[in-house]
Amino acid sequence: MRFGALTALSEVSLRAEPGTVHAVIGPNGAGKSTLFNVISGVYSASAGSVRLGGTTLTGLRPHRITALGVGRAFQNMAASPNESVEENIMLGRHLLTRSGFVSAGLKLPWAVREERLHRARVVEIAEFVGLGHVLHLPLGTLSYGDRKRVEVARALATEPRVLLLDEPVAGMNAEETRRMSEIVLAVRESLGITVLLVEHDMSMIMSVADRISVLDFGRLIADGTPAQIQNDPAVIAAYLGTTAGTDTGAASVRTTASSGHISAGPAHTTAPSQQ
Amino acid sequence: MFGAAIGAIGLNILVGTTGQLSLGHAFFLAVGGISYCWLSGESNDAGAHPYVGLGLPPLLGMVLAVGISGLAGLLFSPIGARLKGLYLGIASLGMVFVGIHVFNSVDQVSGGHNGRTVPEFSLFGFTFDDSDPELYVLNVEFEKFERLWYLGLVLAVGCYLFARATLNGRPGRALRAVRDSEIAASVNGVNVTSYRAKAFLLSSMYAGLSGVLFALAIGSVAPESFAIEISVQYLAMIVLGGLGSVGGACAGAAFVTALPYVLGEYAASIPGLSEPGTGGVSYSEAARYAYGAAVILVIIFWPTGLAGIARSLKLVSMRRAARNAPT
Amino acid sequence: MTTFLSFLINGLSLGSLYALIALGFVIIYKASEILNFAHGAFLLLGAYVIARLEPSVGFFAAVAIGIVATALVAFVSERVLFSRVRSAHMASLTIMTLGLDLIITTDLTRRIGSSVLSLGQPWGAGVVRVGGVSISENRLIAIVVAFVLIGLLFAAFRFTSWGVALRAAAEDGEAAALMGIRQARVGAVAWIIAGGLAAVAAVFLTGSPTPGLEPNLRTIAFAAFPAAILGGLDSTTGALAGGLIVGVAESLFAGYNASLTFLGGGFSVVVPYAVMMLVLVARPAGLFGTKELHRV
Repeated sequence: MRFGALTALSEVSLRAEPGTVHAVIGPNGAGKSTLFNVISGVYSASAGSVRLGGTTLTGLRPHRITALGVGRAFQNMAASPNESVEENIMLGRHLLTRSGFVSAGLKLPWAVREERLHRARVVEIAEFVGLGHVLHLPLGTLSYGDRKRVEVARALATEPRVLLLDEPVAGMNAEETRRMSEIVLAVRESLGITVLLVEHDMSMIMSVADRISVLDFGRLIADGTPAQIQNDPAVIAAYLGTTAGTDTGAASVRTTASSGHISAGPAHTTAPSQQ
Repeated sequence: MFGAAIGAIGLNILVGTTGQLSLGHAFFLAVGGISYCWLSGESNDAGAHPYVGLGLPPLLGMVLAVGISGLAGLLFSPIGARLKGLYLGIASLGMVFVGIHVFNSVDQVSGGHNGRTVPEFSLFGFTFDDSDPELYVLNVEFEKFERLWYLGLVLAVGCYLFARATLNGRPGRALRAVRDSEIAASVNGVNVTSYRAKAFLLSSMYAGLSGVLFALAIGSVAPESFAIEISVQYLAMIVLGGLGSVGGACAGAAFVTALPYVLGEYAASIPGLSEPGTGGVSYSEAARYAYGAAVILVIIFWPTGLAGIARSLKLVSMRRAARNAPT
Repeated sequence: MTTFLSFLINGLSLGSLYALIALGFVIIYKASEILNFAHGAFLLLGAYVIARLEPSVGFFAAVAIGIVATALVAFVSERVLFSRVRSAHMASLTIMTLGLDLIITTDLTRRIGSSVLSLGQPWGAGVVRVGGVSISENRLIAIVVAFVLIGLLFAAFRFTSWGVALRAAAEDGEAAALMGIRQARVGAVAWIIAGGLAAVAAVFLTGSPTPGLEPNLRTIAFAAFPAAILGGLDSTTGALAGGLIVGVAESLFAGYNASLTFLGGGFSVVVPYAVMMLVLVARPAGLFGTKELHRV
């Protein structure tokens, strides 16, 4: 993944096992968001590949990747503030529904039925993340923590096999963070969805992650269980800021996932620096 | 007026809901209005400016005219779908200027600079003009004006319901997502280019129908009847009414069409206004001042338009309900 | 060949005036992200003030006052109207400039009526001939003045703190604000300069071969919009290139109109728009415009 002269990701190869919570951590500018942008197809990798199970996602447009089972919750909420919570989550059902301008406009029976069925599912999802009581309020009137959960609910509404969570607890207070952690675990337990998580909050990560990959300056410097990572000297050095240096080499992501595991393999992309 | 409401609903789908700016609405009105005249009108070989008409039944003419407007919309979809926001705004300005030129050039169809008369509308033998069979409802004689009024009302209600259903359903959600964040929309699986093209197409069909009604109401159209000022008026309607709201578009249409009449009605009693040609400020000029000023003031003090007021009232009551509900 | 050269040079002259207007349009867009449809009205206003004052104070003083007056009106509109609604929907902002345009043009059209006012350009209606190529004195002076002004403006972009601030604000308004760039000042100066440029363009657009100031001056000025967008809305180089392209194309089509009757009479008037649409199909962000980059 390269942005002009800047290489944002280099030789990053990671593999998320199905049904796990896999966290990606690293200091600011380490390339975490870029990794997500490559996986979800917002940026296209200049080299390397992203695979979901046996399917190659590399080079596909974002809506195709979503259709193949990758749901993404954004870091800074990209939803519509004036729309109700329900409408925002319903957007996630886009690919699972069929009605077009004519069938919706004429309220054809099957389109009405489809809408009703999917709304029912949206209510379930909203209750799953604890938003059942605010479904009809405009998103913009909700608290910060609630809005973040709407974003997760919307990503879940695409019925993904893999859920990408981009800093889900950034800026949250302790109580909100605790609720989000519960949701992440519940997603894995009761829905069996693989979660790929980017986050800065270490205690949150340690409490939910099954496996952690550490990025620094666009390279993978460590990969292991939370316990291994906590004691890894390279990670400690990166966080304390003792390593420095830039990498101008090639950039990569490999992402593989089948029925819930995603792996990012050597991949490069081009655009301005993230974070 | 109902014609205006239909056109405004169509433009609002494109501008308010999808977030594309269009100043090309007048062009699609022209396509609708002039196609209708061509399809359902009679040929006129007499005089220095002959034109042709296919003499089709008016209802068929109306339906086909809307179809042709849609086709024109499709034709411009390489521009309509690929350009974003403000760029489309100016590009669509080009459609109006080039459109008028093209229509003037095909004077066999449009009647050229002199225009052509608009064939009366009729449905199953009932004509929407002043002729027989005479119709009285509640002792009011239904003449052309009243008959067209009801035709417009029926069509506008139909268009209103269709637009509301579409926008409340899956397509509307997708369009709003395109407006609010292109990337978020695509990550949710919305094909951004395709939805922009569809919004453009739907908007041009609404404009086409609006053009037919406009033509019926004024009785004679020329390409110059559909100048850039018409586009500006429609844009004013949806901004005043409230961007993205179907009901707001109708309210805005009512306001903008009624303003000159209201000012005309009361012109005599407003000090400082005078008859046209006497050197003072005439009422049509006063209407233009008022309308320019209204647009500016509404945006500064009341940015969500008429629909915004309704929405905030609703929100207040919903919040109150949420507060009172046991948690 | 000489006929072609004549058309070409006249086109360049017209194009340099379009470029002046388009530049104003572009710097307003860069500073405030507004498409200023009232720009035609500014032009009309400048010309009107000059025409009215010229008999009493003389041409050059009238031009100076006209430029200042137009710049002032542009400044006041920015301060009083547009700076209040920065975050409004682009359709709202656009319609607001159209509202302003409507008020100014209605008023000026009423004042001008059906008369043709002269701005009293001292260079009159003379024609300069060089080896068979003829161009009106007015248009010749226009080229010179326009290019001097454009040169000064480009120098200002590069070397003054305002120019740097403008470019920074256009790149990323928030970041520029964080770095201490006062957007309000950048915006106000942009509107002042744009207003002034419009008044200057008006002086030459109302000179020979045009008979004088008529309300349709605003429509002529409209051709600067396609010029701005085909070059790329956020590019000053694009405005210059776009202005010249549109001017030359219009002049050539007008010149060879007789042999182009299959396009319909008077096609030259719509040439700017036709050229613009062709360019945009190929390059949706214009010739020199930057494609937006997204952050998520």
